[in-house]
Amino acid sequence: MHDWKNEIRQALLQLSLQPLREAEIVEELGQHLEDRYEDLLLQGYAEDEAVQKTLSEFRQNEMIRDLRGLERTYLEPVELGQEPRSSQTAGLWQDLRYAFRVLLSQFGVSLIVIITMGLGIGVNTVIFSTVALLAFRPFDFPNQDRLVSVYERQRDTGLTRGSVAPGNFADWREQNQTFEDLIAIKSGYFDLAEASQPERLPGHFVSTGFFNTLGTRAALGRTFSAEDNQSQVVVLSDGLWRTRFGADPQIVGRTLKLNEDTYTVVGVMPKDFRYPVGDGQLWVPLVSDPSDRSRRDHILQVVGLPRSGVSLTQASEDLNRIAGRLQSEYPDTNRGREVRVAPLIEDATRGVRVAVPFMFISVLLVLLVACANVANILLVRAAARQKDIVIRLALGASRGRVMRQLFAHSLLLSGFGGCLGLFLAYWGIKALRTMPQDFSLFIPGWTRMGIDQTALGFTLAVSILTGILCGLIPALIGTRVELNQLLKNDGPSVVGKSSSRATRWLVISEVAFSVILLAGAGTMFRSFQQLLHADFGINATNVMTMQLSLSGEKYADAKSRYNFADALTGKVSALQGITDVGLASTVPLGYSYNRREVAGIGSTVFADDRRVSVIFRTITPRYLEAIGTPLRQGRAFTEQDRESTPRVALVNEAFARQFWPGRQVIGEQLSFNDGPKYEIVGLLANVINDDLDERADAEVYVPYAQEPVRDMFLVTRSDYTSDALVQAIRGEVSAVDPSVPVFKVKPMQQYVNERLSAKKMAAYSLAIGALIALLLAAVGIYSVVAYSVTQRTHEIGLRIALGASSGDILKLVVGTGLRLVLIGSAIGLAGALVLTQLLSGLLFGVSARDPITLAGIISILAAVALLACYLPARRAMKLDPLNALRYQ
Amino acid sequence: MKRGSAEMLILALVEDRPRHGYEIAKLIEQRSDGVLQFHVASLYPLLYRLEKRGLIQGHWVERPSQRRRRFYKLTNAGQDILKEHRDTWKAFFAALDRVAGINPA
Repeated sequence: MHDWKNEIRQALLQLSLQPLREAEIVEELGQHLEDRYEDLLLQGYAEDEAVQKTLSEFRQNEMIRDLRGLERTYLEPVELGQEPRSSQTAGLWQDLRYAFRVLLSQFGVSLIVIITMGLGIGVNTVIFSTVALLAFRPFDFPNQDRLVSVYERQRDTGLTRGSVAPGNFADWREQNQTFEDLIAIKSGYFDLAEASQPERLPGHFVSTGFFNTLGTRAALGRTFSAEDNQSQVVVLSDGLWRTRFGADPQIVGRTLKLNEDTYTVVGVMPKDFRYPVGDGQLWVPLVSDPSDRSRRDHILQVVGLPRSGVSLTQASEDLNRIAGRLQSEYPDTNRGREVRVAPLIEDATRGVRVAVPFMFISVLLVLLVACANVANILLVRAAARQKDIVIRLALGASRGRVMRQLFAHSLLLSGFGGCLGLFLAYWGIKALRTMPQDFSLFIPGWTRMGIDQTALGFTLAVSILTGILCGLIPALIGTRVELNQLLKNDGPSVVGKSSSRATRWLVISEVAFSVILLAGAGTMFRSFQQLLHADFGINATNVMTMQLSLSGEKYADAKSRYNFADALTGKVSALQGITDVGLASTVPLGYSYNRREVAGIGSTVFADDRRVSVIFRTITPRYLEAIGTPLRQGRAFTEQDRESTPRVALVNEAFARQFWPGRQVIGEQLSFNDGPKYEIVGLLANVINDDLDERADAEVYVPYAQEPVRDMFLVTRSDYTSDALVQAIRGEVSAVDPSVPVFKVKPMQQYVNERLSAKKMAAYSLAIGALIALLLAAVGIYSVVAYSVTQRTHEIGLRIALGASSGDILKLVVGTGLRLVLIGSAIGLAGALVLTQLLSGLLFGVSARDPITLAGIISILAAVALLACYLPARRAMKLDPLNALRYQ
Repeated sequence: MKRGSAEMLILALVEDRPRHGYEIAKLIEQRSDGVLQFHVASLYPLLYRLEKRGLIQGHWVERPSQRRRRFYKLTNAGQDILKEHRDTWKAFFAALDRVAGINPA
């Protein structure tokens, strides 16, 4: 037969065609000539003649001329076995589609990987974002990094964060050489007599340089300037402006009645401006009386802006030099008084920072467990897919191409995991931000919480990198093998061996991390439980509190205040359902308390600079019953303790232990600075005033009749609580004096709950982290054991065929998993014993190495691990030996 | 021959179903009783040209126990051009008929 194609190929040489195109033309024309030749034969031509005729019809030159310019520029669909370079990106798209199909076909496994990654990324982003904000950038004013808190310090009394006396502040401010400005803040209450209902607002007196020093501006109007020093001006918070003044855009220039003085509104602050931390609603200039150089009353909070280039040490030395001079000038008041300078942020976030190391460790552990799990599952899958890889390689796929397919698979899984993580992070932070306001108000920065870009980037990078690495490592190992050997080999494969060692270690470390987390969470949880049942020295059930304030000229006289209190308690106790009613200057956990320095007790008189401050509370006789603080010894106050009778006082057990250890305190005399002597008539149980897990403070109570204060809490105990009862009580206040504002109406239980909520959050967030880790570890154990069952199907079948009972098989399979769990638990336990020490500062009533907790978590883990091993074991027990033996 | 007549012939032949090159050449020869002849040299440059213009589209078809062949089918654009050609030719013949009394039918 004639070689037509050769003729055509020769002719086409004159054109410069793409090889593919040329091959096509040769094929097409060759067939034409062949068809023509065969037709001619059928028509009766002899072979030679047919060839001659066919060739004569193939007029090359004519054809070549006509074909010029017809080299096709577009590409035909790619055929098998050929891969033009330009289709690399198209190939990647193809790989992604392929990966998506694989992902769907292994839906369960893919879902586990995605959820694992999502949880890891989500939890980490939430915690890292929260910590980054709360612990390191809690404020929204520009100078937060440069500002410092300035305190008075007295080494021999252990005072480290003392408020500053106005006299000292004035001297520091005038004489220092290192500060751009020093500002003072004094918090207080303001009676706003605007509408029918008088209202009492928390607010701050601040130096006129306050806003400029912080570097913040008003959202509306202006802040203070130096000229405002003596004027009656006020800046409002965004919250107050909205709730009380309906966000009136014309508010600037309006006048308000505050504490019976007239103030002009000059500005409104932005929404998130909340400094000093708390619920302050307005700021007015701290009008400093030049003659007020008191050095005895320590009432100011001081913040300074050091000049640029001045170090913390230089600033501290500068102020201490001044303080040193003051010490020798005013030995009565300033002996031992030094200055302590600390970065503002560090100082404001010290409460949060205690928890930072543990939070970081716990989220890192969750991330590690999540990554280990993803690695684990992907390694196991890769081992299972090894045959598949080898077949692809044998069919001529390039190593790069196969790796790219595996890469696409990991990329897709990581992508979905990342999306889920992002969603969870967003949702988690939103949930956190809507925590009860009473609690979050006191944590600077809480309301500005959002997803931190760096945190998100970091966790996304870590987990996606894990996904990709775990996708690629088996690919690297798998594609390097000798094809021939592998295709022949029926036994456990190369990837199988090396990756199963890796997966074992991954499971061991997962178990270890989970044990550590569970131990931490368990101890925190037990501590929280102890706290719930702890004795705070009060009984909050059915106790209602509200604040009252007797302001103005009307109550300038002590007698008028006493009369008001007497009339009010009389009227309220007559109300149906009320069992006890009392008044007190402060209540435990009420976020504010008064202190006084004890000058002497019995025959002991303390030197001026040795005086220790105690909590001081003024109460009416029935207050103790109303709040539920038990009397331990002696007597409580009665109606007979009057202005005219000898001064009496009650002290608590902490006081007795601190000042009069081992001796009978009742009957002793007690005195405060410059005050009269009080006779101690009774001993009370300790109450917790501030943080629930702190030790009780020393306290002194005096009768309201002898020291009637203007600001007080009305405390009522009733058979039930209802809004109607609260209304009735308010009605009685109005009946006694309609001008007295009632505010902060709150059940006592709510004060307790607010304090508990921080602990609750810590305990629950740890518990959630630990649960996630436990779940992930269970998934890890399951996937390894299940994989080993698949790998050993042949062997298990053989055992069954040789007479192994299902009990033997169960032992074999569960043993595989439990060995890993035991090793992991042992390592984890060792780690937990070290790490829970970190927690000891946060614990209440439970040891950091609480054996009950540790035993508990080990049994939980063992139960979960057993279940994770049992499921694949059951499958192994049900194997049909015949099928299993055939299984390769 | 009028310019574009060969083009019209090919388009018309692949109008009802896809055909390969040799089939096209053979049909032209048969239906014109050998008056019109297309050989390799004239047919394929024309097919490629039509394909490049998007009037026809070629694709390889494999059938069991046969060599694969390249079949050409008429595209939508080809359909339009074919109709245009037909109209032109009808008008041309009508004109010839009126002038010279030729009735092609």
